[in-house]
Amino acid sequence: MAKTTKNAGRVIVITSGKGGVGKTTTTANIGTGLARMGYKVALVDTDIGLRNLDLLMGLENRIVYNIVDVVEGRCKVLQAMVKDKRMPNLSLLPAAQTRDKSALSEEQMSTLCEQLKQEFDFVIVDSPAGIEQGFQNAIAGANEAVVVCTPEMSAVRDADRIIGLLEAREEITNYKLVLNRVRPNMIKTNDMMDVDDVLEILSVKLLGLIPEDKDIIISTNKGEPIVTSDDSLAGQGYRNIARRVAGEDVPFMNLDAPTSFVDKIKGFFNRSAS
Amino acid sequence: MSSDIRDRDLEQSSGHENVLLIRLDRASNSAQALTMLTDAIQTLTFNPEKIQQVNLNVGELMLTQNVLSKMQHILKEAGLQIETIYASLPQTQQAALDSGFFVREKPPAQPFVLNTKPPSFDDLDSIANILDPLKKSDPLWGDKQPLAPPALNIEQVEEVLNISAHQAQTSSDKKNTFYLKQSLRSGKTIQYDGHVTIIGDVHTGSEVTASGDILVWGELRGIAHAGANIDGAKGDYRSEIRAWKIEALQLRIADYIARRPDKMFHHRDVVTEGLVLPEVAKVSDGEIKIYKETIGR
Repeated sequence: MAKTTKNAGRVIVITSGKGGVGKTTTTANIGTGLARMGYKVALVDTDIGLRNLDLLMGLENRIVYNIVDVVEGRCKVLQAMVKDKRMPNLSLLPAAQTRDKSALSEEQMSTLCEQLKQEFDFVIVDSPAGIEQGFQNAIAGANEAVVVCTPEMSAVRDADRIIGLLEAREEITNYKLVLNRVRPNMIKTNDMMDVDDVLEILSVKLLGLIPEDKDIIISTNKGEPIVTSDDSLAGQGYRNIARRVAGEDVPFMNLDAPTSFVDKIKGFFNRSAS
Repeated sequence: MSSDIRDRDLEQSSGHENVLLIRLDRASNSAQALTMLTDAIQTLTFNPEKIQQVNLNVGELMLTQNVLSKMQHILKEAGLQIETIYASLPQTQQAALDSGFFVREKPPAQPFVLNTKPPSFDDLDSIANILDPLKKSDPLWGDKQPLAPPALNIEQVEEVLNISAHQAQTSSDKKNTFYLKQSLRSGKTIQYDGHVTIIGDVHTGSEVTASGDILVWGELRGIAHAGANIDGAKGDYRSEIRAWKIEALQLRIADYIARRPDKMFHHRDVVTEGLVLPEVAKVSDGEIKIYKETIGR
């Protein structure tokens, strides 16, 4: 499958600072979402030693070469790319599990991204947690960034630090926030930070909201990104994000909207009562 | 008959430039097989300095040790030695084993070349196609396809486990064995020029590479590569991988590679006389297959 445009592709790093907020899930879903729209997409896992992106994509049993084999010259980059089993225009460059972050340098990563963006419309780089070598490698070749954050103080503080580091890099021209694991019910009862609070603290533009969804756990275990599931709210959120990344103007989801029939009835009575 | 033999019954085994494959599987009895072999040797022109070994394909013939030693004699006079005998009949297999030959059921279905560089794929599609499932031919485990092994890194072992992997090996039959009494967790690798025995589990995310056989006294869930090409030494597709339970992400034997099916149906424990049988993976008919171990039964 050929690239859809002749221009060089976009290299987008997905990062967060804090671990466990959903970087890898976001990478898998944005990548899969863009591929569903017809773009040619490469996913790059830079979490060397603690790789997970292959698992989320359900491709762990197909890995022969990895990113370290590429930079150490044991194979060509396209040889190491594992093609997705569902979509031919989506491929994964897996991290090495048996090495550590020092196996890759920023220069090597930059060169790699240069190569990949000649072949792909989108190169989505999954960053490891932290701000050390692994993070520096991940952002080395990127021109855009997606910061993933949850509505918790600790995640917000780490995201702020990351945004500071991203702003300091001239190469990164654009960065936006994905707010993950939002629970509208908790926000209503003032138990969780409001979306606007987070955006205000971080003074950053919102790329999208992902509601807390237990289906994410199921999809992670099955190795099928949730963006492919049509009846899930989180899947809808990721589809919207992918469209926004591609440049479409998509309105933000209203998470307060009742979803089930029972909720709608309840909402109706609540409205008439007030 | 003679020119006929040269064309059809004699061929150089692919991948083994110094080994001849002689087909006797069309003979109907052992006497005819002996005549065919004699004719083949007489009509055969080969460079005796280059070719010294012969693989015999005897098909479904029933051959005794006596006949095999006659064959050995005929070949010896021509300066040739028998390396492998391909026989499908168990009696013949046993006779050949007793005579000290390597025995295989069939010659490899596809020609393959050991000790080559990985194929170069300029096209992104080709590597993915190689790993796409082909067919479900094995009742225990689905899809296989040969592929060149990745280049190996000896230093990793030394780093992780302080093992010297550079062991001088003179004969493939006299390989050393590396014995490890601990489970291998994610991220750990063992590479060893010889056989590897692990008393413990091999977890997902770890890799075991050996130029010889691999024996896991536990569950094998990571990647195992037996008969690997280490330090330019020839890989050996006759190597085997044994474990109490094989649920490996990938199995590699020499140039062959097999991956776990995407939907791993839950593992079967075959219980025979109250015992769960261990499993062995080997190359057969040009692909890696998993069998229940039946030694001594």
